Amino acid sequence: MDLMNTQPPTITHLFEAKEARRLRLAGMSFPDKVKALVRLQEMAAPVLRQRGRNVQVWRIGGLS
Amino acid sequence: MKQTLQVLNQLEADGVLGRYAIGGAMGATFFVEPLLTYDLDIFVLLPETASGLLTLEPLYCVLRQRGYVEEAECVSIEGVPVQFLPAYNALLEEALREAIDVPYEEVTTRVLRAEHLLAICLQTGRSKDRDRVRLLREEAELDDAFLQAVLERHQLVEKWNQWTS
Repeated sequence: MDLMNTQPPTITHLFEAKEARRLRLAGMSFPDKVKALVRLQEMAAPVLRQRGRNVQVWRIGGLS
Repeated sequence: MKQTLQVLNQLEADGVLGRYAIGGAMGATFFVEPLLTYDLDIFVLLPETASGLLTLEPLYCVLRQRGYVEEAECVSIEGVPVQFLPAYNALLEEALREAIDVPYEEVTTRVLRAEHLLAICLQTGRSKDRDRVRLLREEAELDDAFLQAVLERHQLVEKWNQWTS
């Protein structure tokens, strides 16, 4: 029996939930996706700046 | 973002740009989950210059006059770094011609079709393009017949087969 290929049901369920979330995100409206992107930018910017990359979080209306 | 798109629409209306459409990560984001990017990639058909050269300089000149400054390879327009990419081959020209109108709040903008975004990724061929092809296959609603025709027209069938086998 190949134990390496055996995945606990909990993990399988988590991966399925992740997949479902990605598909849900893919179905959002374009303006909502832009808002989500700006949130992503805000989260990633401090890490990237620490690594020396100069990034600018977009200024969009209706956020923050 | 809305203001940025309004500026782009005005540039097109004024004839500074021939036609524009959103591509790159933001273009893909229209069809898949939001992808992290800090640039708005704008593909453009540029009006012919007297010399026949493909140059962004006249566009940059107009943008400077309107108060938008260049930052590295981008121009910051209303808080969004925009990278203009001239359509330099037949695939990009076709992608721009067939880009679709989409609403963004009260503004109408244009996005490249998912099938063209995928073909452009195949043609560009970087590792991040492979990721984007995978995402587009998994999450976008692709028109298979349309995609096949694009791939055949631009000699990308072999690469598609390599990347998806």
